[in-house]
Amino acid sequence: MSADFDDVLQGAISKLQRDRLPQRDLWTGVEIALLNRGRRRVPWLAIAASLLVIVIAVGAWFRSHRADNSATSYANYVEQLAAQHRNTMAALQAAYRNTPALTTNWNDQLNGMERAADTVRKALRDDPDNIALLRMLNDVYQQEVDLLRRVHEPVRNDQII
Amino acid sequence: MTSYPVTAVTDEHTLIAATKGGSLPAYRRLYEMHVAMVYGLACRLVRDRAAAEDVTQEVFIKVWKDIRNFRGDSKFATWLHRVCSLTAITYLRRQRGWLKRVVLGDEAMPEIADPSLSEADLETCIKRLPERARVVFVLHAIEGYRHEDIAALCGIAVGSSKAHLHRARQLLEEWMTHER
Repeated sequence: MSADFDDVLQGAISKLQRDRLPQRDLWTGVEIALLNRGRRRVPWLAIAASLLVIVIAVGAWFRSHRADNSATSYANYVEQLAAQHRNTMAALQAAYRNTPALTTNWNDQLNGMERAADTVRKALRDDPDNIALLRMLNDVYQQEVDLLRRVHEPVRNDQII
Repeated sequence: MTSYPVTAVTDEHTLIAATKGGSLPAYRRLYEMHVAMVYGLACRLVRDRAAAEDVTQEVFIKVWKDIRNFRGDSKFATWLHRVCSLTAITYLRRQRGWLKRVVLGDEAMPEIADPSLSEADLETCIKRLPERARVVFVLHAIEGYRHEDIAALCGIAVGSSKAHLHRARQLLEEWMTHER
C-alpha cells in the first residue's frame, strides 16, 4: 500500500462520523425486555421435548438411511420433519403469545427463512438422496426456532463477561 | 422498580450507581447518553440497519444485566464499546450460517438506507469489505483496538487479524483510487 494512500486513508478516517442516532425508538424494546425479565415462565420443558423429538427423528432417519435408500423414505422423512417443525413453531408461538417481541422485523426474517426452507424442500423433490440438502433443511428449521427464541428471550443468548 | 429523580442528573457515576441499584430512569439517561455511540459502531460492524438496531437493543439489555460487574476500572464508554463490539461479532457469527451464504447470498443483506452514506467514499467502501476484513478494519483502524484485543474478541489469531487488516487496506486502496 502506498504511503500516499495511507495519508488519504487516515484523512478519510478522521472525517468519519462516529456516532449515529437510530432512526426509530429503540428504548421501548429495551425497556419491555428489562421489565419482563424474570416475569416470564416459558415452558422450556415442552420446548425441549419438541426439540428432542426432532433430534430423535433425525437420528432415526440417519439409522434407517443405511438400510433403506428408497426415494419414498426420504420424501416421507422430509414430510415428517416439516410436520414436527410446524408443531415446534406452533408450541413456541403459543408460549410467546403474551410476550412482546424486541424487534418489529422478525416476521420478515422468519418469512425469509421459510422461503429458504421452501427452496430446499423443492430441491429435495428433485434430489431426494441429497443428505447435504436434508441437513440444510434441518438447519433452517433450527434457525427459525432460534430466531423466535432470540426475539422473545434475548437475555438468554450469548451471556457476556 | 425503584423510582429515582434522575431527569436532571448528568453525572455518569451517579447514573451508574443508580442503575446498579435498579433505577430504570437512571439507566434510560445512560442509554440516551451513549446510544449514538453504540448504534454508530453497530452500523459499521454489522452493515445493515435492522441488524444494527437489534445489536443496539441487545447491548443495552446485556449491560443492564451485567452492570454490577462494571467496577469503574475503565471509562463506562470504553466498557460499553467493548460490549457492543462483542455483541456485534456474536451477531455476525450467528448470521454466518449457510442460510445467507448458500441460499440467500450476501446480496440479501439490505444496506443501510442513509443517504448521507452514499456520498462518503470511505463509508461506502467499508460496507463493501468482506465481513472479517470489515470487522478488523473498523475495530483497528477506526476504533483503535489492538490486534491482540481484536483476536480475543473474534476468536482468531493475532496474525489473522493483521492479515484481514492488510486485505482490507488493499481493497480500500483499489476501490478508492481506481473506481473514482
